[in-house]
Amino acid sequence: MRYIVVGGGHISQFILRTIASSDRKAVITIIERSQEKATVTAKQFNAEPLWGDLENPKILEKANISICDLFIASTEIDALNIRLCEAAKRVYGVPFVIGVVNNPLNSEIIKKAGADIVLDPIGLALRILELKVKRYGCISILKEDECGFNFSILKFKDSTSIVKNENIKIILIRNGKPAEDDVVARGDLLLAIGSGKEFNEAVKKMLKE
Amino acid sequence: MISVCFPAKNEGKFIERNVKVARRTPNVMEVIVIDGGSTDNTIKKALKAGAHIVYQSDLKYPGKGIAMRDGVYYARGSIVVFLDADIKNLDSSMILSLTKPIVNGEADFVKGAFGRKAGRVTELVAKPLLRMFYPELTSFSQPLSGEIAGLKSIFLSVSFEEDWGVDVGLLIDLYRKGFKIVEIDIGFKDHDMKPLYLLTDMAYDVAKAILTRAMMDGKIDKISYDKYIKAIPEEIGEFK
Ligand SMILES: Nc1nc2c(ncn2[C@@H]2O[C@H](COP(=O)(O)OP(=O)(O)OP(=O)(O)O)[C@@H](O)[C@H]2O)c(=O)[nH]1
Repeated sequence: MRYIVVGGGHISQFILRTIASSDRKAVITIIERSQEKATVTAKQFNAEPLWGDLENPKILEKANISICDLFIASTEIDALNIRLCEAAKRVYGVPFVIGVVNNPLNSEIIKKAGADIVLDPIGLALRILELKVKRYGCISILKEDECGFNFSILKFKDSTSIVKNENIKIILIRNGKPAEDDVVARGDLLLAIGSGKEFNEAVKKMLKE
Repeated sequence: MISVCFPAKNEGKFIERNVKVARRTPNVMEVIVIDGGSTDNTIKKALKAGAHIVYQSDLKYPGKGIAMRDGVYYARGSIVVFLDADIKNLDSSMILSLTKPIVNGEADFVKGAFGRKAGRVTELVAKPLLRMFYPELTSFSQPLSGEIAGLKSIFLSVSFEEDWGVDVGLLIDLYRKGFKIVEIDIGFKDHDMKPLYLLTDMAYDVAKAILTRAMMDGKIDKISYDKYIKAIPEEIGEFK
Protein backbone atom coordinates (compact mmCIF):
# COMPACT_ATOMS: atom_id res chain seq x y z
CA MET A 1 0.00 0.00 0.00
CA ARG A 2 1.00 3.62 -0.47
CA TYR A 3 1.05 5.75 2.65
CA ILE A 4 1.47 9.45 3.30
CA VAL A 5 2.24 10.56 6.85
CA VAL A 6 2.22 14.30 7.56
CA GLY A 7 4.14 15.34 10.67
CA GLY A 8 7.29 13.86 12.15
CA GLY A 9 6.60 14.27 15.86
CA HIS A 10 6.05 11.85 18.69
CA ILE A 11 2.80 10.27 17.54
CA SER A 12 4.00 9.99 13.92
CA GLN A 13 7.02 8.00 15.06
CA PHE A 14 4.77 5.34 16.50
CA ILE A 15 2.45 5.39 13.52
CA LEU A 16 5.43 4.88 11.22
CA ARG A 17 6.73 1.99 13.31
CA THR A 18 3.34 0.34 13.11
CA ILE A 19 3.12 0.74 9.34
CA ALA A 20 6.68 -0.39 8.72
CA SER A 21 6.30 -3.50 10.85
CA SER A 22 2.87 -4.53 9.63
CA ASP A 23 3.24 -3.90 5.89
CA ARG A 24 6.58 -5.02 4.50
CA LYS A 25 5.75 -3.66 1.06
CA ALA A 26 4.71 -0.26 2.35
CA VAL A 27 5.62 2.72 0.17
CA ILE A 28 5.76 5.58 2.64
CA THR A 29 6.13 9.33 2.10
CA ILE A 30 6.82 11.50 5.12
CA ILE A 31 5.95 15.17 4.93
CA GLU A 32 7.49 17.50 7.50
CA ARG A 33 8.05 21.20 7.90
CA SER A 34 11.74 20.75 8.60
CA GLN A 35 14.07 19.18 6.08
CA GLU A 36 16.22 17.64 8.79
CA LYS A 37 13.30 15.97 10.55
CA ALA A 38 11.87 14.71 7.27
CA THR A 39 15.17 13.26 6.13
CA VAL A 40 16.15 11.63 9.41
CA THR A 41 12.71 10.16 9.99
CA ALA A 42 12.40 8.91 6.42
CA LYS A 43 15.73 7.14 6.64
CA GLN A 44 14.61 5.30 9.76
CA PHE A 45 11.57 3.87 8.03
CA ASN A 46 12.88 3.52 4.50
CA ALA A 47 10.50 6.23 3.37
CA GLU A 48 10.55 9.14 0.95
CA PRO A 49 11.07 12.53 2.67
CA LEU A 50 9.32 15.73 1.62
CA TRP A 51 9.49 19.07 3.40
CA GLY A 52 7.93 22.48 3.13
CA ASP A 53 4.80 24.42 3.84
CA LEU A 54 2.26 21.87 5.08
CA GLU A 55 -0.55 24.32 4.37
CA ASN A 56 0.16 24.29 0.69
CA PRO A 57 -1.73 21.62 -1.30
CA LYS A 58 1.19 21.48 -3.74
CA ILE A 59 3.20 19.46 -1.29
CA LEU A 60 0.44 16.85 -1.14
CA GLU A 61 0.50 16.63 -4.93
CA LYS A 62 4.25 16.25 -4.88
CA ALA A 63 3.68 13.29 -2.58
CA ASN A 64 1.39 11.75 -5.23
CA ILE A 65 -1.65 11.93 -3.03
CA SER A 66 -3.94 10.96 -5.90
CA ILE A 67 -2.61 7.37 -5.79
CA CYS A 68 -2.26 7.19 -2.03
CA ASP A 69 -4.17 4.38 -0.23
CA LEU A 70 -3.83 5.60 3.33
CA PHE A 71 -3.27 9.17 4.44
CA ILE A 72 -2.40 10.11 8.01
CA ALA A 73 -2.37 13.65 9.38
CA SER A 74 -0.48 13.55 12.65
CA THR A 75 1.10 16.95 13.27
CA GLU A 76 0.96 18.56 16.70
CA ILE A 77 -1.52 21.14 15.37
CA ASP A 78 -5.07 19.81 15.38
CA ALA A 79 -6.41 22.60 13.17
CA LEU A 80 -3.86 21.63 10.52
CA ASN A 81 -4.69 17.93 10.83
CA ILE A 82 -8.34 18.81 10.31
CA ARG A 83 -7.60 20.78 7.14
CA LEU A 84 -5.25 18.05 5.87
CA CYS A 85 -7.86 15.31 6.35
CA GLU A 86 -10.41 17.48 4.62
CA ALA A 87 -8.15 17.95 1.60
CA ALA A 88 -7.15 14.27 1.48
CA LYS A 89 -10.75 13.11 1.54
CA ARG A 90 -12.74 15.81 -0.21
CA VAL A 91 -10.23 17.11 -2.77
CA TYR A 92 -8.10 14.07 -3.52
CA GLY A 93 -10.51 11.26 -2.59
CA VAL A 94 -7.99 9.19 -0.63
CA PRO A 95 -9.79 5.93 0.25
CA PHE A 96 -8.55 5.81 3.81
CA VAL A 97 -7.89 8.93 5.86
CA ILE A 98 -6.68 8.89 9.46
CA GLY A 99 -6.58 12.04 11.59
CA VAL A 100 -4.79 12.47 14.88
CA VAL A 101 -6.22 14.76 17.52
CA ASN A 102 -4.01 15.98 20.33
CA ASN A 103 -7.08 17.44 22.04
CA PRO A 104 -9.93 14.91 22.33
CA LEU A 105 -12.45 17.72 21.91
CA ASN A 106 -11.48 17.94 18.22
CA SER A 107 -12.48 14.33 17.56
CA GLU A 108 -15.92 15.06 16.10
CA ILE A 109 -14.63 18.01 14.08
CA ILE A 110 -11.93 16.01 12.34
CA LYS A 111 -14.33 13.19 11.62
CA LYS A 112 -16.78 15.58 10.00
CA ALA A 113 -13.95 17.14 8.00
CA GLY A 114 -13.09 13.82 6.36
CA ALA A 115 -11.19 11.46 8.65
CA ASP A 116 -12.43 7.88 8.36
CA ILE A 117 -10.67 6.99 11.56
CA VAL A 118 -9.76 9.30 14.41
CA LEU A 119 -6.66 8.55 16.46
CA ASP A 120 -7.38 10.13 19.80
CA PRO A 121 -4.83 8.81 22.30
CA ILE A 122 -5.90 11.00 25.20
CA GLY A 123 -9.59 10.38 24.59
CA LEU A 124 -9.01 6.63 24.60
CA ALA A 125 -6.99 6.75 27.80
CA LEU A 126 -9.70 8.88 29.41
CA ARG A 127 -12.34 6.34 28.59
CA ILE A 128 -10.31 3.70 30.38
CA LEU A 129 -10.04 6.04 33.33
CA GLU A 130 -13.79 6.53 33.15
CA LEU A 131 -14.21 2.78 33.46
CA LYS A 132 -12.45 2.89 36.81
CA VAL A 133 -14.31 5.94 38.06
CA LYS A 134 -17.85 5.52 36.78
CA ARG A 135 -20.15 3.37 38.86
CA TYR A 136 -22.70 2.71 36.12
CA GLY A 137 -23.42 3.68 32.54
CA CYS A 138 -21.86 3.01 29.17
CA ILE A 139 -18.14 3.45 28.61
CA SER A 140 -17.02 3.21 25.01
CA ILE A 141 -13.56 1.75 24.80
CA LEU A 142 -13.44 1.89 21.02
CA LYS A 143 -15.83 3.95 18.94
CA GLU A 144 -17.15 3.21 15.49
CA ASP A 145 -15.31 6.19 14.00
CA GLU A 146 -12.05 4.93 15.41
CA CYS A 147 -12.04 1.35 14.17
CA GLY A 148 -15.28 0.61 12.36
CA PHE A 149 -17.15 -0.92 15.30
CA ASN A 150 -18.06 -0.07 18.86
CA PHE A 151 -16.63 -1.82 21.84
CA SER A 152 -18.36 -0.68 24.99
CA ILE A 153 -18.48 -1.74 28.59
CA LEU A 154 -21.76 -1.35 30.40
CA LYS A 155 -22.06 -1.14 34.15
CA PHE A 156 -25.45 -1.54 35.77
CA LYS A 157 -27.12 -0.06 38.78
CA ASP A 158 -30.25 -2.24 38.56
CA SER A 159 -31.04 -5.58 37.03
CA THR A 160 -32.08 -5.50 33.38
CA SER A 161 -32.78 -7.96 30.57
CA ILE A 162 -30.01 -8.30 28.03
CA VAL A 163 -31.08 -7.06 24.60
CA LYS A 164 -30.05 -9.21 21.67
CA ASN A 165 -30.02 -8.35 17.99
CA GLU A 166 -27.93 -9.00 14.89
CA ASN A 167 -25.73 -5.97 15.36
CA ILE A 168 -24.62 -6.56 18.92
CA LYS A 169 -22.57 -9.31 20.54
CA ILE A 170 -22.54 -9.41 24.30
CA ILE A 171 -20.43 -11.07 26.95
CA LEU A 172 -21.66 -10.96 30.52
CA ILE A 173 -19.03 -10.64 33.26
CA ARG A 174 -20.10 -11.57 36.76
CA ASN A 175 -17.64 -11.52 39.66
CA GLY A 176 -14.79 -11.09 37.22
CA LYS A 177 -15.68 -14.14 35.12
CA PRO A 178 -17.72 -14.70 31.95
CA ALA A 179 -21.20 -15.91 32.86
CA GLU A 180 -24.40 -17.04 31.10
CA ASP A 181 -27.67 -15.27 31.89
CA ASP A 182 -30.45 -13.36 30.14
CA VAL A 183 -30.57 -10.80 32.91
CA VAL A 184 -27.85 -8.62 34.41
CA ALA A 185 -27.67 -8.00 38.12
CA ARG A 186 -26.29 -5.04 40.02
CA GLY A 187 -22.49 -5.00 39.77
CA ASP A 188 -22.40 -7.03 36.53
CA LEU A 189 -20.45 -5.84 33.51
CA LEU A 190 -21.44 -6.32 29.90
CA LEU A 191 -18.91 -6.22 27.11
CA ALA A 192 -20.80 -5.15 24.01
CA ILE A 193 -19.38 -5.23 20.49
CA GLY A 194 -21.23 -4.10 17.40
CA SER A 195 -22.06 -1.33 15.02
CA GLY A 196 -24.76 0.92 13.64
CA LYS A 197 -28.00 2.29 14.98
CA GLU A 198 -29.18 -1.05 16.36
CA PHE A 199 -26.11 -1.23 18.55
CA ASN A 200 -26.76 2.18 20.04
CA GLU A 201 -30.45 1.43 20.53
CA ALA A 202 -29.73 -1.84 22.31
CA VAL A 203 -27.30 -0.09 24.65
CA LYS A 204 -29.79 2.68 25.38
CA LYS A 205 -32.54 0.18 26.07
CA MET A 206 -30.45 -1.79 28.55
CA LEU A 207 -29.39 1.37 30.34
CA LYS A 208 -33.02 2.55 30.29
CA GLU A 209 -32.03 5.88 28.80
CA MET B 1 -11.75 37.35 2.21
CA ILE B 2 -11.50 37.70 5.96
CA SER B 3 -11.46 35.11 8.73
CA VAL B 4 -12.08 36.50 12.19
CA CYS B 5 -10.59 34.48 15.06
CA PHE B 6 -11.43 34.79 18.73
CA PRO B 7 -9.10 32.97 21.11
CA ALA B 8 -11.38 32.32 24.06
CA LYS B 9 -11.26 30.82 27.49
CA ASN B 10 -14.44 31.16 29.51
CA GLU B 11 -15.87 34.13 27.66
CA GLY B 12 -19.54 33.11 27.78
CA LYS B 13 -20.55 36.63 28.71
CA PHE B 14 -19.56 38.39 25.50
CA ILE B 15 -18.79 35.74 22.90
CA GLU B 16 -22.27 35.51 21.39
CA ARG B 17 -22.52 39.21 20.77
CA ASN B 18 -18.98 39.47 19.43
CA VAL B 19 -19.36 36.55 17.02
CA LYS B 20 -22.56 38.10 15.70
CA VAL B 21 -20.90 41.48 15.18
CA ALA B 22 -17.99 39.84 13.35
CA ARG B 23 -20.32 37.74 11.19
CA ARG B 24 -22.26 40.70 9.93
CA THR B 25 -19.14 42.66 8.99
CA PRO B 26 -18.69 42.97 5.21
CA ASN B 27 -16.18 40.55 3.63
CA VAL B 28 -15.98 38.38 6.73
CA MET B 29 -16.35 34.84 5.39
CA GLU B 30 -16.10 32.98 8.69
CA VAL B 31 -15.77 33.47 12.40
CA ILE B 32 -13.66 30.98 14.33
CA VAL B 33 -13.56 30.56 18.08
CA ILE B 34 -10.46 28.74 19.27
CA ASP B 35 -11.33 27.42 22.67
CA GLY B 36 -8.77 27.02 25.41
CA GLY B 37 -10.78 24.57 27.51
CA SER B 38 -13.71 26.70 28.58
CA THR B 39 -15.84 25.25 31.32
CA ASP B 40 -18.63 27.81 31.00
CA ASN B 41 -21.13 28.20 28.15
CA THR B 42 -18.64 29.79 25.69
CA ILE B 43 -18.95 26.98 23.13
CA LYS B 44 -22.72 26.84 23.26
CA LYS B 45 -23.05 30.58 22.82
CA ALA B 46 -20.45 30.74 20.06
CA LEU B 47 -22.16 27.95 18.12
CA LYS B 48 -25.51 29.64 18.58
CA ALA B 49 -24.08 32.80 17.08
CA GLY B 50 -22.79 30.86 14.08
CA ALA B 51 -19.08 30.51 14.82
CA HIS B 52 -16.90 27.59 13.81
CA ILE B 53 -15.29 26.01 16.83
CA VAL B 54 -11.91 24.39 17.08
CA TYR B 55 -10.15 23.46 20.28
CA GLN B 56 -6.56 24.49 20.84
CA SER B 57 -4.27 21.50 20.34
CA ASP B 58 -2.56 21.80 23.67
CA LEU B 59 -4.71 22.78 26.62
CA LYS B 60 -2.18 24.64 28.68
CA TYR B 61 -2.71 28.03 30.24
CA PRO B 62 -1.73 30.62 29.27
CA GLY B 63 -2.21 29.31 25.77
CA LYS B 64 -3.38 32.32 23.84
CA GLY B 65 -0.48 31.88 21.43
CA ILE B 66 -1.32 28.24 20.81
CA ALA B 67 -4.91 29.27 20.11
CA MET B 68 -3.78 31.97 17.67
CA ARG B 69 -1.46 29.62 15.80
CA ASP B 70 -4.24 27.03 15.53
CA GLY B 71 -6.61 29.73 14.33
CA VAL B 72 -4.26 30.59 11.47
CA TYR B 73 -4.18 26.96 10.34
CA TYR B 74 -7.94 26.64 10.59
CA ALA B 75 -8.74 29.87 8.77
CA ARG B 76 -9.65 29.78 5.08
CA GLY B 77 -9.49 33.50 4.44
CA SER B 78 -6.46 35.22 2.96
CA ILE B 79 -6.69 37.83 5.74
CA VAL B 80 -6.87 36.72 9.35
CA VAL B 81 -8.10 39.00 12.12
CA PHE B 82 -7.62 38.26 15.81
CA LEU B 83 -9.80 39.88 18.42
CA ASP B 84 -9.99 39.39 22.16
CA ALA B 85 -13.32 37.80 22.98
CA ASP B 86 -13.91 39.95 26.03
CA ILE B 87 -14.41 43.26 24.23
CA LYS B 88 -17.70 44.72 25.41
CA ASN B 89 -18.15 47.27 22.67
CA LEU B 90 -16.94 45.49 19.52
CA ASP B 91 -18.40 46.85 16.33
CA SER B 92 -17.86 46.17 12.65
CA SER B 93 -15.92 49.37 12.15
CA MET B 94 -13.08 47.99 14.33
CA ILE B 95 -12.74 44.99 12.03
CA LEU B 96 -12.96 47.15 8.93
CA SER B 97 -10.31 49.57 10.26
CA LEU B 98 -7.99 46.67 11.03
CA THR B 99 -8.29 45.14 7.58
CA LYS B 100 -8.48 48.24 5.40
CA PRO B 101 -4.71 48.87 5.09
CA ILE B 102 -4.24 45.23 4.05
CA VAL B 103 -7.08 45.29 1.54
CA ASN B 104 -5.60 48.51 0.11
CA GLY B 105 -2.16 46.93 -0.15
CA GLU B 106 -0.65 49.40 2.32
CA ALA B 107 0.23 46.85 4.99
CA ASP B 108 0.83 43.12 5.54
CA PHE B 109 0.21 43.34 9.27
CA VAL B 110 -1.96 45.76 11.25
CA LYS B 111 -1.81 46.36 14.99
CA GLY B 112 -4.94 47.80 16.52
CA ALA B 113 -4.58 50.50 19.16
CA PHE B 114 -7.48 51.54 21.32
CA GLY B 115 -8.34 54.20 23.83
CA ARG B 116 -5.77 56.55 25.32
CA LYS B 117 -4.68 54.28 28.14
CA ALA B 118 -2.45 51.34 27.28
CA GLY B 119 -2.16 48.46 29.73
CA ARG B 120 0.16 48.20 32.69
CA VAL B 121 2.32 45.44 31.23
CA THR B 122 2.62 47.49 28.06
CA GLU B 123 3.86 50.62 29.82
CA LEU B 124 6.01 48.99 32.48
CA VAL B 125 7.51 46.02 30.64
CA ALA B 126 7.01 45.95 26.90
CA LYS B 127 7.80 49.55 26.07
CA PRO B 128 10.98 49.88 28.17
CA LEU B 129 12.36 46.60 26.79
CA LEU B 130 11.45 47.52 23.24
CA ARG B 131 13.13 50.87 23.73
CA MET B 132 16.33 49.08 24.76
CA PHE B 133 16.39 46.36 22.13
CA TYR B 134 14.07 47.38 19.31
CA PRO B 135 13.92 51.19 19.33
CA GLU B 136 12.46 51.00 15.82
CA LEU B 137 9.28 49.65 17.40
CA THR B 138 8.80 52.32 20.05
CA SER B 139 6.46 54.18 17.76
CA PHE B 140 3.81 51.54 18.45
CA SER B 141 1.57 52.83 21.20
CA GLN B 142 0.18 49.39 21.98
CA PRO B 143 2.63 46.66 21.06
CA LEU B 144 0.68 44.08 23.10
CA SER B 145 -2.75 44.64 21.68
CA GLY B 146 -4.61 41.47 20.79
CA GLU B 147 -6.59 43.18 18.07
CA ILE B 148 -4.57 42.51 14.94
CA ALA B 149 -4.97 41.62 11.29
CA GLY B 150 -2.57 40.16 8.77
CA LEU B 151 -2.21 38.20 5.61
CA LYS B 152 -2.53 34.52 6.44
CA SER B 153 0.70 33.86 4.52
CA ILE B 154 2.78 36.08 6.81
CA PHE B 155 1.41 34.42 9.94
CA LEU B 156 2.40 31.06 8.45
CA SER B 157 5.95 32.32 7.98
CA VAL B 158 6.68 32.79 11.70
CA SER B 159 6.47 30.66 14.85
CA PHE B 160 4.04 31.69 17.55
CA GLU B 161 4.95 32.02 21.21
CA GLU B 162 2.52 29.83 23.12
CA ASP B 163 1.78 32.19 25.98
CA TRP B 164 1.26 35.91 26.58
CA GLY B 165 4.46 36.61 24.64
CA VAL B 166 2.63 35.92 21.40
CA ASP B 167 1.57 39.45 20.46
CA VAL B 168 4.90 41.18 21.02
CA GLY B 169 6.69 38.17 19.51
CA LEU B 170 4.64 38.46 16.33
CA LEU B 171 5.31 42.18 16.14
CA ILE B 172 9.09 41.74 16.38
CA ASP B 173 9.25 38.67 14.12
CA LEU B 174 7.11 40.20 11.38
CA TYR B 175 9.09 43.43 11.63
CA ARG B 176 12.37 41.51 11.34
CA LYS B 177 11.09 39.69 8.27
CA GLY B 178 10.53 43.02 6.61
CA PHE B 179 6.75 42.95 6.36
CA LYS B 180 4.87 46.22 6.16
CA ILE B 181 3.34 46.98 9.56
CA VAL B 182 1.03 49.80 10.54
CA GLU B 183 -0.76 50.69 13.76
CA ILE B 184 -4.33 51.86 13.45
CA ASP B 185 -6.53 53.50 16.05
CA ILE B 186 -9.64 51.37 16.43
CA GLY B 187 -11.36 53.52 19.02
CA PHE B 188 -12.09 52.86 22.66
CA LYS B 189 -12.01 49.26 23.88
CA ASP B 190 -14.15 48.45 26.85
CA HIS B 191 -13.15 45.28 28.69
CA ASP B 192 -12.50 43.96 32.18
CA MET B 193 -8.96 44.36 33.38
CA LYS B 194 -6.99 41.78 35.29
CA PRO B 195 -6.06 42.57 38.88
CA LEU B 196 -2.42 43.58 39.34
CA TYR B 197 -1.35 40.34 41.02
CA LEU B 198 -2.36 38.38 37.92
CA LEU B 199 -0.01 40.39 35.74
CA THR B 200 3.29 38.92 36.93
CA ASP B 201 3.14 35.88 34.65
CA MET B 202 1.97 37.98 31.76
CA ALA B 203 4.82 40.46 32.29
CA TYR B 204 7.26 37.56 32.52
CA ASP B 205 6.09 36.04 29.23
CA VAL B 206 6.29 39.40 27.48
CA ALA B 207 9.79 40.10 28.83
CA LYS B 208 10.92 36.60 27.85
CA ALA B 209 9.60 36.98 24.30
CA ILE B 210 11.49 40.26 23.81
CA LEU B 211 14.72 39.14 25.50
CA THR B 212 14.81 35.86 23.58
CA ARG B 213 14.62 37.75 20.31
CA ALA B 214 17.25 40.23 21.49
CA MET B 215 19.52 37.26 22.20
CA MET B 216 18.82 35.71 18.81
CA ASP B 217 19.75 39.04 17.23
CA GLY B 218 23.02 39.18 19.16
CA LYS B 219 21.89 42.09 21.34
CA ILE B 220 22.35 40.06 24.52
CA ASP B 221 25.14 37.54 24.61
CA LYS B 222 23.97 33.96 24.70
CA ILE B 223 26.00 32.99 27.75
CA SER B 224 24.34 35.60 29.98
CA TYR B 225 21.01 34.80 28.47
CA ASP B 226 21.40 31.10 29.22
CA LYS B 227 22.65 31.90 32.68
CA TYR B 228 20.06 34.46 33.74
CA ILE B 229 16.98 33.83 31.67
CA LYS B 230 16.13 30.31 32.54
CA ALA B 231 13.17 29.56 30.29
CA ILE B 232 14.33 29.31 26.72
CA PRO B 233 11.71 28.51 24.14
CA GLU B 234 12.71 25.76 21.72
CA GLU B 235 12.31 27.74 18.59
CA ILE B 236 11.28 31.26 17.74
CA GLY B 237 11.82 31.09 14.04
CA GLU B 238 14.49 32.42 11.77
CA PHE B 239 15.12 36.09 11.40
CA LYS B 240 15.78 37.56 8.01
N1 LIG C 1 -7.92 29.77 23.60
C1 LIG C 1 -7.41 30.49 24.60
N2 LIG C 1 -7.76 31.77 24.76
C2 LIG C 1 -7.21 32.47 25.77
C3 LIG C 1 -6.30 31.89 26.68
N3 LIG C 1 -5.95 32.83 27.56
C4 LIG C 1 -6.63 33.94 27.23
N4 LIG C 1 -7.39 33.72 26.16
C5 LIG C 1 -8.25 34.68 25.44
O1 LIG C 1 -7.43 35.71 24.94
C6 LIG C 1 -8.09 36.94 25.00
C7 LIG C 1 -7.31 37.95 25.81
O2 LIG C 1 -7.20 37.48 27.13
P1 LIG C 1 -7.38 38.41 28.42
O3 LIG C 1 -7.30 37.54 29.61
O4 LIG C 1 -8.57 39.26 28.28
O5 LIG C 1 -6.05 39.24 28.33
P2 LIG C 1 -5.83 40.74 28.09
O6 LIG C 1 -6.92 41.31 27.24
O7 LIG C 1 -4.46 40.89 27.58
O8 LIG C 1 -5.87 41.24 29.57
P3 LIG C 1 -6.95 42.17 30.29
O9 LIG C 1 -6.37 43.51 30.31
O10 LIG C 1 -7.13 41.61 31.64
O11 LIG C 1 -8.22 42.03 29.47
C8 LIG C 1 -9.47 36.65 25.57
O12 LIG C 1 -10.38 36.45 24.52
C9 LIG C 1 -9.25 35.37 26.33
O13 LIG C 1 -10.43 34.60 26.47
C10 LIG C 1 -5.95 30.52 26.50
O14 LIG C 1 -5.18 29.92 27.24
N5 LIG C 1 -6.53 29.88 25.45
